[in-house]
Amino acid sequence: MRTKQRRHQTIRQKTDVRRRVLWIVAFLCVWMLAIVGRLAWLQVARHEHYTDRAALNQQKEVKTIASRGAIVDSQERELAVSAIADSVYVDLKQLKEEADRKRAAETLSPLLGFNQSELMKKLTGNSSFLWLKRKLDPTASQAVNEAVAKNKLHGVAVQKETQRFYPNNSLAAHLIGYVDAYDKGLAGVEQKYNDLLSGKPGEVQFDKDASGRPYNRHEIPAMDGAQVVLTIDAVLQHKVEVLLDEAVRMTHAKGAGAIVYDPKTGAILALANVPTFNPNERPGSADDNARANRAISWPYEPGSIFKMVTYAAAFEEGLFKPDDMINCGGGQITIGKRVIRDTHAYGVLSVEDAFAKSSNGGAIRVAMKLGKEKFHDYITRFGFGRKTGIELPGESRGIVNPLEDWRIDSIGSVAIGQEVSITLLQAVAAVGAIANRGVWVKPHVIKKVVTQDGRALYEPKIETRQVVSEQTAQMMTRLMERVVTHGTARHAINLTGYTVAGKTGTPQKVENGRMSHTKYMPSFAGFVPATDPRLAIIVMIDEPQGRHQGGSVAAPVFNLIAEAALGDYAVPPDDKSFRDALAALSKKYESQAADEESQEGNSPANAPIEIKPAAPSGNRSSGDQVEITARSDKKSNNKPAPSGASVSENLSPLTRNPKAAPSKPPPQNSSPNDSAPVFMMPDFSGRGVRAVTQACAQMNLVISLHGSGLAVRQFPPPGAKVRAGETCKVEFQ
Amino acid sequence: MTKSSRKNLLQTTEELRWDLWLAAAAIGLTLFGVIMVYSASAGTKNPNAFLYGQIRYAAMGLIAMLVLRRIDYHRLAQPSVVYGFLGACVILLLVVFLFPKVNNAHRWILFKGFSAQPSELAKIALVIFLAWFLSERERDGDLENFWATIAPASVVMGLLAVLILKEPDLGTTLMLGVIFLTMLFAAGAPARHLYKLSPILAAVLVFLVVKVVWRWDRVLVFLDPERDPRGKGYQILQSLTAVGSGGMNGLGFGQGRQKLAFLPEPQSDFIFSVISEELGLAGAATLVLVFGFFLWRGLRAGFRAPDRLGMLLAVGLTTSIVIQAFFNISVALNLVPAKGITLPFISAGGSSLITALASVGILLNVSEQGIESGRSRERESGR
Repeated sequence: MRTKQRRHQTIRQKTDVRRRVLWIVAFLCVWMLAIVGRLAWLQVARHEHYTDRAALNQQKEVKTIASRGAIVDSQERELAVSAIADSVYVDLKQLKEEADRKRAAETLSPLLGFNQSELMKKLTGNSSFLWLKRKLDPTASQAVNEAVAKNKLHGVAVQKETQRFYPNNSLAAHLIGYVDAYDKGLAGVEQKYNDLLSGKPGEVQFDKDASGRPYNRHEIPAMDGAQVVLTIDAVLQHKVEVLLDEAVRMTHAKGAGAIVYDPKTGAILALANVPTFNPNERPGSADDNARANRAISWPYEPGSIFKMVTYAAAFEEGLFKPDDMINCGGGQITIGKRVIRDTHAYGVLSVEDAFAKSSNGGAIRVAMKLGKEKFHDYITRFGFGRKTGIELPGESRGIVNPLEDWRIDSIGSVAIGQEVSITLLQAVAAVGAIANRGVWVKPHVIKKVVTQDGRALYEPKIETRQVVSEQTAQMMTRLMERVVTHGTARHAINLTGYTVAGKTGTPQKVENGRMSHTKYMPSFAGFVPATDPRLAIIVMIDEPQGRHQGGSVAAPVFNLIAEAALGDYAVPPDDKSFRDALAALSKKYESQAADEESQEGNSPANAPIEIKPAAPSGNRSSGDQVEITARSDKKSNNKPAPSGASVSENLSPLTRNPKAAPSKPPPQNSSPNDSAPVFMMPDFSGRGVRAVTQACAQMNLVISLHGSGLAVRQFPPPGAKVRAGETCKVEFQ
Repeated sequence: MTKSSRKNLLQTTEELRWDLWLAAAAIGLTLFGVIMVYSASAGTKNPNAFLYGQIRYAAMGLIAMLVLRRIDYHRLAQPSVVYGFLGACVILLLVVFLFPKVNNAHRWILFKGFSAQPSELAKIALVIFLAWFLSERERDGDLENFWATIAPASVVMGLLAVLILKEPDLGTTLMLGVIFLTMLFAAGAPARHLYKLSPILAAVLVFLVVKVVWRWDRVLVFLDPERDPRGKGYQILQSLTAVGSGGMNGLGFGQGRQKLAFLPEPQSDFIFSVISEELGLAGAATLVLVFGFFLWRGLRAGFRAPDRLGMLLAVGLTTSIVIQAFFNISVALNLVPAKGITLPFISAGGSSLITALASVGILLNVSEQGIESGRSRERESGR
């Protein structure tokens, strides 16, 4: 009975208990679902977030440096290189204890050039990476390394960094640009090609545990930066810079700019501005004036050189021929209400002379006949008012007002280069178009960008545009030659053996909206040799004191630059009378040489040949042309020279007074002395005997030639400083 | 027990009447635990020590399980055994204070390189006591008498709780409270009595949590782990990072990274984080489901138990293990504030593993004596 009752009770209770347990089960099931739901949320929805977080936690990345690529000139001479430098940093998480920090400050402060309290101030907080001193010299970094090891300064370490170095200081500074402390390019090619130059830093990735101990590493190797090869020639660039600097000094100008351009390829061979800066120093300290690459970024009113566009357009439209007569208005011309005066009152002139004498009236007549629509069209075709697209940052498009903004008298202003602003680069490219049979070639300054393993990353595409016809270009060449022979530049240009085409410009500066009568920007743009143009050159002097005419200030500098460049590139003379004289002399000399040979008998072909520079008063009386001819002839025959070659006509750029008349050179000594001018030794390798002797003669060097063929070795080496009268040895093979 | 019943026990062993699934779940979890402890301790100085230790504990636990399976659970439910067990626990919990602190708490008895955590034993002792006590009260019809049932039970629980709280070990204390309430609830104690208790328990809990600063910090961190990622939120953030970075399939066994000194106690309190990181959602969710399976088999044994004692033993032991597991997992997932509490079967540590397996031994015995479904009963009556 009792058991039965108990059993009954148990069953009743048991149902109750069962329900209670099921409640517990229900609760636990809900809990379980919550857990699984939470798991899914964390592991699926938030997976990426926590993966990132885990990586942050667990990995430590150490960048390995990529060496910044070099910038070199067209002959692969280094213009900007990177050296490895050591920098000291500290991990304050490892250098935790105050005592340790004090010890570190004590030992390191003299080595790093801080005082102790200064360094102690740096050693606060718990940053895991803090630069103490960047780019130490090698001895200092060695000392730091030793001190760290000796004193067990945990957390202080030395890391390699690259440091940019410009071996030639300010040479081509505006083209090259400069970098900041982090090797980021801030100007010029350094900026434009920063990504390619800097390469890709490598990365060593450490997996680490919570205490920072690495237990695994993966390495992505650094990719060194690419080398940028410029089109410029460092030697020519140097000469152009020296000449410009000299010109600015002599004329007390505010600045100057010059570009040497190859009209056939569009390559910039030299581009210089004054003032300039030294990229090795903190260039931020140089003012904007010095850092600006004015030649491409500072547009100016070009003045008369713009008449090239005016006349070229008119020829192209068939409105004139060079021989046509034109009324230049007799000193003034009225357009609308404005009266424009000419510096000289010209009446009726031939078109050719109107151009050569830079008659404003003539140019305005021409433009008016042309009409503003067509004129504007040609201005645009010549590339004004838009960027040339050169591979440099900060290029200006200049200012060419849209047609609808032209006032009634604007056509007159534009015809003579007012109311438009252009850059030197645009100008030299336009001159180049005339030189290159009417074909405009897009200027470029990068020859190529190549990776360390020789893969080309960039090569400029030569973009061309027929601006005017070849006939027009020929007519323009004739006009521009006349500028040099009979026109505004007739006293300034004298390149023996070469024909030159060019145009002067003497724009007044605009000040507060009015033409200044004291501030000018004389310029000269042209090309040489006129018959087969190799070089287009523009020179602009900003605010010279005293003489201010393009023909008297800028053209002489042009002359000197052209002289230097023609020598460097061994451009054969093209002047017809010169060549005739040469031929005659050559004949005469051949017979003379034959006599000598019979006298000397079996002189070995590769015996050293010495050519001595001209004696001060030497054989000048016989005339420059003859002397040069004789020299060239001798060399072509590879024969010893009986007398000094005349170099007096090819004086060093340094000794040349840009304003001085070229026919009055200072006397030269035949032996080296301190007053002799200093040159940079050019790189002769790969050049022929003729080119080498010519170049040496220009620098007034005694030359000693060995062998024949192409130059393989030379002393002094390229880039070395030499003085006139010193001996230069060159071996040929 | 008589000789015949012994023989009977042997026979049932042969016939495998005890719940093989339950045993399989427990053994499976244990073996899985051994492997995971090995992986999780990779960042420590001597992972092999953990592996061998865990293997040793597992062997000891399995022996304890098999022994207890053979002991009729009714024999445990005698006043002498129950009180003796409780008394031993109290003494051990007092002895703990004689030993130096480990991790800032007197939790361990250290003896010749061997260490034991009496608080783990206390949990099982409390379950056995409550199962016996409540089934006795139920039999006497005193279950609804507050002073006869709940009050004395509370005193016993309170004594153990105070001692463990003193260590301090809030997590285990909390587990005692949960076991206590669960068993009272399951035993059928009147709801009104439980309601009466709950505000007291809640008040005590709130007081403890709020008063002791570091625990309050944990609650704050629970609410917003990002508030102090490098300091107080560090542990939980590291755990979440481990779980989250595991993704669907995990980083692979042994590939976990967070265990390398980022996670606190990766082989013990935060082993679930390591599992989640290495085995992903697939592995972690499976583990949770296995605990769910264990819950089902344990409660099934309880439902089939021949008497109230067996029922309460099974429910108490099963729920205490599963709740602790879920609690541990919830900490790792920041579902509840952080408490130092182990994951049964899995976490490294002898006391935890051996008591869990011992509990399974008792559960198996309960399942063995269960009133089987129709077929078994026929066989029984047919004999």
